[in-house]
Amino acid sequence: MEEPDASLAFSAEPAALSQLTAWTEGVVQRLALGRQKAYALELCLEEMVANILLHGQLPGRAVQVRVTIMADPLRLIVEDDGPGFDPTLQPEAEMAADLDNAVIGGRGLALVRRFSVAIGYRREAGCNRVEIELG
Amino acid sequence: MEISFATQPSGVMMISLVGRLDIQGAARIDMQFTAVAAGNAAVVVDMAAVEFMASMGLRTLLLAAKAMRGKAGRMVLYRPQADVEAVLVTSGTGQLIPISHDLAEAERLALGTAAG
Repeated sequence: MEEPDASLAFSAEPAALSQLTAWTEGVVQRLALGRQKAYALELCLEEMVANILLHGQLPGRAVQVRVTIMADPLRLIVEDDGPGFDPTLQPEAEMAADLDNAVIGGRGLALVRRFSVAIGYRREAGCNRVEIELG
Repeated sequence: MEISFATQPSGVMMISLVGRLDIQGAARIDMQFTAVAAGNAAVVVDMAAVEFMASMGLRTLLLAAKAMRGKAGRMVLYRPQADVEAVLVTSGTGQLIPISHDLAEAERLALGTAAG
């Protein structure tokens, strides 16, 4: 089993976001990631965590999340024990032609697709496991 | 995330954003940003000091631009950093809210006086 270069576990609550941001910035510095890769990593992480916070909650208990970063090649693994959700099966949101018809939201996964090389999903032992290759 | 605003000599309202327009940053400025935008007919948003933005930041911009659109107002995004601009363009938001790197052009677009 490959050793992760960095890993962080937290409860899916807004209060965890400050810690997550500070941790991610520390990892970016330690791995000496270039600007574009660092941005892609932070963007994909933010979208996956936002998705869990907004759509992946369970009544009665906080969903547990684990974020793992592998450096070479760079990839991000997000695991959570919330309801099953496969991001690879979600259709692309349609692009509106003008502001009057624009729908707010639904752009997160499209951004992850554009800023990553590949996205893999599997459900195992009651957990979602999303692996995002960042090249 | 910080927000400040000032009326320009042209009459345009300039809203300046500083910091990370991430989930927390968006939550911090949402109400004030939308309120100032909706209260003005011509708004230029100075994005130069926005280091990071993802879909929650797009949501903030689109909510305010839609609120302005309902009152025939116009929003223009001014000088976003390269990565932030890539998010705007690849998400299609750049087609809904114009982006300009030239202040005079941004003001003309916001005022609706852009000459052909």
